[in-house]
Amino acid sequence: MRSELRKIDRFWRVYKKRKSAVAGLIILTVLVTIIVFAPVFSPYDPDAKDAIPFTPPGSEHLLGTNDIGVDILSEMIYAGRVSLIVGITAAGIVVFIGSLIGLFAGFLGGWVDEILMRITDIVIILPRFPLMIVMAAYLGPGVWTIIFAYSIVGWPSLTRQIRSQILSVKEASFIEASRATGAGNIRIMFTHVLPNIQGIIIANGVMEIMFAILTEAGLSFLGLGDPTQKSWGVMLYFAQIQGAFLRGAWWWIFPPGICIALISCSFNYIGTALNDLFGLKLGK
Amino acid sequence: MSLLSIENLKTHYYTDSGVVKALGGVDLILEKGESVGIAGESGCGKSTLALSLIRLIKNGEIIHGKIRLEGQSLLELPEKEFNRIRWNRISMISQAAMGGLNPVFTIGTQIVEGILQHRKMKKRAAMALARELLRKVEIDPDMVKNYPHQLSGGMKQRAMIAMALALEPDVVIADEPTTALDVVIQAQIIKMLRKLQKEMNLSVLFISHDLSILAQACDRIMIMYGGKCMESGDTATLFKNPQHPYTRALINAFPDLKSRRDKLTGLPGNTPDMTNPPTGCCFHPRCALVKDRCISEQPVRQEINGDHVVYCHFAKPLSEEN
Repeated sequence: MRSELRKIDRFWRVYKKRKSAVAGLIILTVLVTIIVFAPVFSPYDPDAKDAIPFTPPGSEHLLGTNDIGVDILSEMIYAGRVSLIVGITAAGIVVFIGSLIGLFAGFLGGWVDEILMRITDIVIILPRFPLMIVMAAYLGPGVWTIIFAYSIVGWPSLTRQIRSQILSVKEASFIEASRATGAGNIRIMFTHVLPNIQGIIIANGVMEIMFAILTEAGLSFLGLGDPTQKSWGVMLYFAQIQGAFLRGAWWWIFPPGICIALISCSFNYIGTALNDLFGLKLGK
Repeated sequence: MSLLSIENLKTHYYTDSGVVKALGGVDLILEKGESVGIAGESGCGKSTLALSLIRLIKNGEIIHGKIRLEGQSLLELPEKEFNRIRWNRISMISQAAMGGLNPVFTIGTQIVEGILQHRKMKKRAAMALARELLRKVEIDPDMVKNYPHQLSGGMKQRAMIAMALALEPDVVIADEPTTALDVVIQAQIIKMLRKLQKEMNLSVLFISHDLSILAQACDRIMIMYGGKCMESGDTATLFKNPQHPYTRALINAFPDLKSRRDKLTGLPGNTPDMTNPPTGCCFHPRCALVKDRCISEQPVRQEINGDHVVYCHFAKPLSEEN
């Protein structure tokens, strides 16, 4: 336990030297706190439609209201939940699929590698966004559609990275040593190889969350999200179709946009820093 | 019945440039409690022999021969059953300095993980055993909590030895266990290994290119060249009365503190290309005493005296000259 703490402490000491990474962590902490404790922070019920439509920001409604009289700030805070959950779930699935395929391809090699990597190649050359739009349109709009579509096309780049790392780890002599102890392939893969690349998986996972949130926003903006489960992307979609742009209701457009930008930036900064830090560790 | 017997073992590797005949028929017997050294230059097949014993040959296979452990033939065993032999009955000390320990786990975790693979016991008990093992190899038992990078090279090697001894195996293969360590640490580790071997009545197969280490650590030595045994015998005899020209060349290539031999003689040339080994005696291209017969005819086993064995056409005549 104490050694775990010491590890975290050592990690933090290197991490905090990166200003952007610390900034990312602060932004993320603030956003996540607000999103998680949405009932505490949102001034109104996000479903209450009792204010005057298109009220500009003021003392009563900090960020104004939308076309049906919903307080934008409250709506935005609750929308963050959907964006974040979709992002994390999709990224989780992508990391799971990507790591597993990379692990098997890299470690087992031979025809397993050949087949898995050819599948990866095929998926990687598919035009991602159009394909996701087609899939989402075909399956019908919804949160799970977006998660599914993203999971299907999102994993190949991670797989390639994981595989290349596995290729170098599997040549280490502790792998041969564990074979000499009588360990089988599956055991070696999961107890010896995988822990050695956990850093890369974590760093890539964080980056994946960013991509997933952006993708979700993009697809939702195009109307492929679930209108009953508003995410930031869905908010922008409604702003677009309900004439926020025509009426000059900037307070309806900027806040969700800025939220998407902020959360993406913070995940990106953190992910980049983690990638560097774990990369350093490997080189040591 | 001897503990471990190897008969006419042939192992080939398959490479792009052809079939490498890494082992060309090796015989070896290891008795209980005995320590046998395998010596030879790089590429002579020492490590291939070790890897063949635990069946971990990559890009190649054992094509011929028998390996018996207490009479049980090992080469025919299915992989699953052989996995029970690995580490449990034949364990291997790998080169810790070359990354034999997994960097992301503590020493203790690694030892425990291995123990639990083969023995049904509580994790607690396994950890206690790990600590006991570290004490045996003369490092602080609290090191179980440390990661490999927190240990010095010598300590890592000791930890590797501890791992190899965990299940009290019948045979321990030590493949260059002191490579990349400084001479002082080397000597300490050899001494400790020797002591443990006596205490636990282990049978050790000690592989090294360094004859002086084998001289300290082993009861018997086998000299290998080109994937074949050149000469084998008990350590003292081999050093006092080497019969094979290659053995002599190896001995002369090492400085000797006691006798006043002021010139070290190197052995010109390189180890043979094993995709296409030399005809006859495989040492003939580098042998100073080469005769026509050496090129055309493979030397057969000759017993000089007891278990002192030589594979050279001219062994006996030369010993008579001496």
